[in-house]
Amino acid sequence: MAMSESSQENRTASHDGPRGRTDHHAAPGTISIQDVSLAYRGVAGSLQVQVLRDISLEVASGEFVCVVGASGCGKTSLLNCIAGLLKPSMGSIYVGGELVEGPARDRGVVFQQYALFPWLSAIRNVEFALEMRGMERKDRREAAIEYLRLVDMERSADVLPKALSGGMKQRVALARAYAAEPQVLLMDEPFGALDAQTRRRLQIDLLGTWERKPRTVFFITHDVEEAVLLGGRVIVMKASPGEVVSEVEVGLGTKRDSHTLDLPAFAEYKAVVARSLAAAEISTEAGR
Amino acid sequence: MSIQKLPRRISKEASPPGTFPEPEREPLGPPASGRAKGTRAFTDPPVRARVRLRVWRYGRALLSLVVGIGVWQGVSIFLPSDVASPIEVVRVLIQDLKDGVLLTNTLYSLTRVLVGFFSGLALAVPSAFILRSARWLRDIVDPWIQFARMIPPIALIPLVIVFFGIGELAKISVIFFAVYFIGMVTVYQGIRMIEVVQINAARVLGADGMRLFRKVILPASLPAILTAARLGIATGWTTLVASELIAASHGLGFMITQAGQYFDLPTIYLGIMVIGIIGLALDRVILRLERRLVAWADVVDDQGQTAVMTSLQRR
Ligand SMILES: Nc1ncnc2c1ncn2[C@@H]1O[C@H](COP(=O)(O)OP(=O)(O)O)[C@@H](O)[C@H]1O
Ligand SMILES: [Mg+2]
Repeated sequence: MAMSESSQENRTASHDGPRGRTDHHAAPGTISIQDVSLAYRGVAGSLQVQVLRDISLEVASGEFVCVVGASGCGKTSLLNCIAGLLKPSMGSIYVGGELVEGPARDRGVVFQQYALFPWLSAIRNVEFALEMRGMERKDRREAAIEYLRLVDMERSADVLPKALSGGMKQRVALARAYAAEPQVLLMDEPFGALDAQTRRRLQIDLLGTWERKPRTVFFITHDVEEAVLLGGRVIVMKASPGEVVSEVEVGLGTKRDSHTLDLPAFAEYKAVVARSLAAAEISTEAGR
Repeated sequence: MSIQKLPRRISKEASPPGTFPEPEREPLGPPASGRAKGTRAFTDPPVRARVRLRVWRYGRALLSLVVGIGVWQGVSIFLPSDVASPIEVVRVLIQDLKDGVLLTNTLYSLTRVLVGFFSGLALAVPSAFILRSARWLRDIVDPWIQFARMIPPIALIPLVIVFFGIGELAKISVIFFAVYFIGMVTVYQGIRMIEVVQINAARVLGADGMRLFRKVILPASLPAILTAARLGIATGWTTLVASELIAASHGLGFMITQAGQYFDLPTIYLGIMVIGIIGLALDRVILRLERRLVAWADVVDDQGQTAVMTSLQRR
């Protein structure tokens, strides 16, 4: 798999603090989750609800990892921890060797609820990301068009989000995430709200985009087929508390497209992941 | 892969059974509502159909006016001592226009309401943001707000006269009070609804502090601010006229009170008409502004936020 840009390497090496904020050996685009636990404070601060327990995961630079798990098992919570939107109760997360301490541009997020700014047209949404990156106003539009082209949305550049379909909104959201030029892309069930046909087309197009612009992708879904089609590796989670129960290496190569769906091996991997997921659910039941 | 065809603007609420099915008509104002400036529509219905629709709409409104005035004329014939006829009212209108009485009174009322409105709203918006940001302050202030909200501004007039006399400041402060409270509560409710996910989206793109406020929170609050403006101007206007009824030597409210003392029916009716028409015009101005500035928001948007609808007409 292709590496993401290597220009960020210097940045990684320069800030090593006394408390192990950086890891000299980590390449940009890696995600390292170390013993992360998360508890939400319950009602009136009394009861602690353990949502994640001792999650440890390593994601290599340029890898496409999918996380599957039943709804409510803590996938979004985990992703928000990586994004820096939530702080783990215990453990730490490093992205590109740097400790995650809050949200930052090096981790792009595509949310399940279309999180476009409704007052900005498609292209202005993308330009927002460019502006935050510090790009000059005069260069933004041209650059934004390129990002829209990446997701095949350049023809709807001046359309407001409310006039875009769900699939188109997610394309723009993806273009906006790419425009920030993050080291890693975090995607939280981005196609979960779409109809089956649109979802399939966006999956195939995402594979194409990823091939042209390789990035580390951390992709959450509850759809086994989606996970196997997209992921080089599928991580299976169980609920209450959220834990990683197994990992499946999907040996379907890195070049995927709609034909991947027809491979006999595809069905096999799907069955393996589905079994693992079913086992996870049984262990959740048993744990109750 | 190809771009999906844009759906025609689909109305989110189906029309209730038994009503005349009204096709999509400018739900948010001028034709270019669905997209940003500078792009051409391919979702708009053919121009001719839209023109016909508009003629039909205005035709009905006009008919309703004509019938209304007709009924008024009829009633005035049967009840001449209680109801001034439209013709008499027009006669007084012309006369009051000629000697400038009407203009002076209108200007007095308008100035008062606008000063009170702008100062009230200008303070209401920052107050709402401050309340939103500080929980402890909210806890302290909330009971007082709930209390103050229940006081009709008119009930303050005697007190205001004690404090400020019966000068301009008295009337303006009553309007200020009215606009401030309704404005603050409306804006506060509106910004409470701002989607966390939009703020998170901005934060992961690197926005924080002032930039987050200016680029995301403020535009996201604009619909609430404009709703507050619309409610505020309505409350302000009605409150003003009421306060002029009680203590004033100029203004439309005063004009009515004075006419009442002389039992000058046509002037009373004229005053009422002018008050209604100016109120309507003020509302339309803000509605225009709203359509222009927040054309991006659906009446019922993705997040299920429902815009305050004060009119029977779907906007
Ligand atoms: N802010 C919160 N406060 C308390 N509990 C929460 C909060 N957010 C999520 N949870 C709980 O944490 C669990 C995991 O949620 P989430 O991470 O959204 O799961 P998933 O994305 O896998 O559906 C759920 O049981 C949910 O009810
Ligand atoms: Mg989720």
